[in-house]
Amino acid sequence: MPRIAIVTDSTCDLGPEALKQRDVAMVPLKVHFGDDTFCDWVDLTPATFYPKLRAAAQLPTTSQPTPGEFAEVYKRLADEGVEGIVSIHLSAKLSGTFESATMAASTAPVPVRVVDSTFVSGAIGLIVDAACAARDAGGYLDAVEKAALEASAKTELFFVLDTLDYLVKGGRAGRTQGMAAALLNIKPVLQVTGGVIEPFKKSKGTNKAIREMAEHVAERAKKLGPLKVVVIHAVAESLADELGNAIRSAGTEIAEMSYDEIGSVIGTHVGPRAVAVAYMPAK
Amino acid sequence: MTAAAALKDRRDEVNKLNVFPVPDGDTGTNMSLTMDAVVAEIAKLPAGATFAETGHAITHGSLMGARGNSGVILSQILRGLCESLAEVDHMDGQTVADALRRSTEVAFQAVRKPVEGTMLTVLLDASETAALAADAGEDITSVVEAVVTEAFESVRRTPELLPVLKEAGVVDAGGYGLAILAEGFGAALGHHEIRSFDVTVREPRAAVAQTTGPEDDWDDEYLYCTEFLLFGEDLDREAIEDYLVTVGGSQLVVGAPDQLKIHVHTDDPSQALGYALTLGEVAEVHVNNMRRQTADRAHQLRAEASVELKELGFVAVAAGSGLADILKSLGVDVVVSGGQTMNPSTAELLEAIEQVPAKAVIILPNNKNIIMAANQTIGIAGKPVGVVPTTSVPEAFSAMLAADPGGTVEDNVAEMTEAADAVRTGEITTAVKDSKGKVGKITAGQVIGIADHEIEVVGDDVADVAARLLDVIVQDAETLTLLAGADLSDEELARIVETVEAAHPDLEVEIHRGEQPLYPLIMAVE
Repeated sequence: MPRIAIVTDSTCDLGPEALKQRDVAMVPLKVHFGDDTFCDWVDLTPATFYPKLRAAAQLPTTSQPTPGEFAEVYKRLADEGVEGIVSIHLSAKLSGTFESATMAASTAPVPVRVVDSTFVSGAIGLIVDAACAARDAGGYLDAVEKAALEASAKTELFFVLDTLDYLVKGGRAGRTQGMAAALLNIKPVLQVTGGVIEPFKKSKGTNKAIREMAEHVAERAKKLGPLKVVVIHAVAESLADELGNAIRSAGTEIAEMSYDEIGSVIGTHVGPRAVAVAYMPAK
Repeated sequence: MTAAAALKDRRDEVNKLNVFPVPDGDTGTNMSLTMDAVVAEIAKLPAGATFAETGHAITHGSLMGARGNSGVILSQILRGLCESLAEVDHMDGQTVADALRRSTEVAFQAVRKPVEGTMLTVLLDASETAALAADAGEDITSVVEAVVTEAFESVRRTPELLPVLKEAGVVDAGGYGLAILAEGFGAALGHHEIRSFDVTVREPRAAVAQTTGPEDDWDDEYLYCTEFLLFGEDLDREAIEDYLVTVGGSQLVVGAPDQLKIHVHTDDPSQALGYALTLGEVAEVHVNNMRRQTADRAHQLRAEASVELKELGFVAVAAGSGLADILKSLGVDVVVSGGQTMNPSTAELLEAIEQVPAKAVIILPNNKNIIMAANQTIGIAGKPVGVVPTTSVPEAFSAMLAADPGGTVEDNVAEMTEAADAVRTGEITTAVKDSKGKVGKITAGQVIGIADHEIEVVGDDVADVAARLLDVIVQDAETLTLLAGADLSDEELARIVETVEAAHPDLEVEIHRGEQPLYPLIMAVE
């Protein structure tokens, strides 16, 4: 057991296997279909969630973990002998998860540094990976926390949605709200920046939106150097492939590229057929 | 438990109020489920559990069951109450006040940035009222009564403190939930009946627009809403509030000791103003008759809206209600009716430019024959004008997608023109006279397909001409937009869509009823 433990929440969309591999503890957010509650990535995987979402008469809602749930995980890790915890979570501006973790941290038996990743989904995954690297290199609390914060500052996330409906209904559309009023079938390219969702470009057609995202990533690679890229999707494997290929064929310098699925909590807010790319400089 | 039940009964009502911090409409559910967790935890206690054991159960249950921001704050409120009550062996007015004070401290500590006009404000107000009542030697019945009354009063004031509530025309959901809980506790102690509370609730997440605020609806007790600034030295905010209570209600006194903003509902504004004049100088006096205000309000809001100028506005020319609706949904402020056979004049365009509430305007003429009239408005209009030389409505769609309302006229014209250039439009209409073109002889009444101002296809059937015209313009396009004219039936449209999708399976096809005259079908590829 390393001296420093890393905790994240389910919206990092890494899935149980990947988290186990990285030795990272995860606290799930929840999805509520009417009065039925499910734990994200625990009792609701992408394979079970999206069919359920399609069949649901009423859209599900989501909620943050309770402070008590964080406290239990922190205590368990302390009991197992860790000396400190770095807890990395989705944007505090989009969810109260960070607040719950912060509250639990104040009563935890070992010091807990709670990090607002300012991102969602695969972008959190990249930040968690950076923290893991620091931990595995023998870093202590300060070093691991610093690695996470630095990674957060270097990470970028763009996505295209099939429809803005889910984002608007979930109350997280922010300044993209206005686009939803358009009668044309716009495929907006959005970005998460400063912890909130902002419009980036409006495109006609998914293909064009994907190409525009890919071209932007290639541009950024010219500035940032070779990128570590993760392409994520909500039941849209072919779109994810298309995006991955477009990023390569746009001439992006890539150090590492992987594909992941969007889980039920983020999926509730972006809807099926959302596809996204998160990246950071490999060095 | 009475409190939990009261909240559960009204959770949908609370949900509808939820616009802050995230308008996801679940505050009532979250608070209710948090209380359910408390009830479940208490139910586990053995009969005859002590006060302290019960307190611990409540604290634990709410912390474990806390759902959502409101639930988390509620759990802290309950923690504070229980911690304080655990230290006493009997309850009176003073212990209630002390418990609320402790609870307020705990709850405020839990929130990084407390925001005015939320359940924290309601809690603070209720706590201060309790302290006053207890100091005055009131018994527990009166203190609880005062707390419940103040909680609801405080909820009513939340829209004045938090603009997002006022814009949505609602009170704070969490605050309201807390007031319902307070009332439930009161009822459980047998101190009063559950009262009904009328909130003016609009559907949340409807387009945010100013409406008559709930505050004005409730306060029909007084006739005049009186607001003014007071300048003086060492102004005592609380003393002023104490005075205002004697002449009216809904009083609000905010600001610094040398400058206060004062708001009060009263039947006699002269009393409030007269009192203020003994303290210093007044300015910006506004007295509104609230009974007459409601009727005037819509008109007034329109007038105010037209005064506020945007940086950049858009005018487009189009014929057909469907096309106009799409253009407006994309941000066009004024659609001037016109097209191929009815070109609007420069004067009509100038009038439209004046109508747009913006400092500068960009025109989308959408027809080759209107570009010149549009160009002539440059320099004549009372504001800077730019022209994006669009020759069809679909070009305007793409141009509007590229528009940046925060950018300059020049930058926008460049970006929008580039976007419009990427569009190829095909228009289908009927020949009005016999003629000859590059496609051969054309007889009046035949269907013709036009691309880039040239007749490219002639035929007798709209669907057939559409299919052949698409072959001319499609090239390597990815998207196809079909705009059905007023004369094209839904059945014909469906037949065209079927043909087109079969011939070009890779195209993303989007279909709208443009309802334009003379052109049964306009199609655009990109």
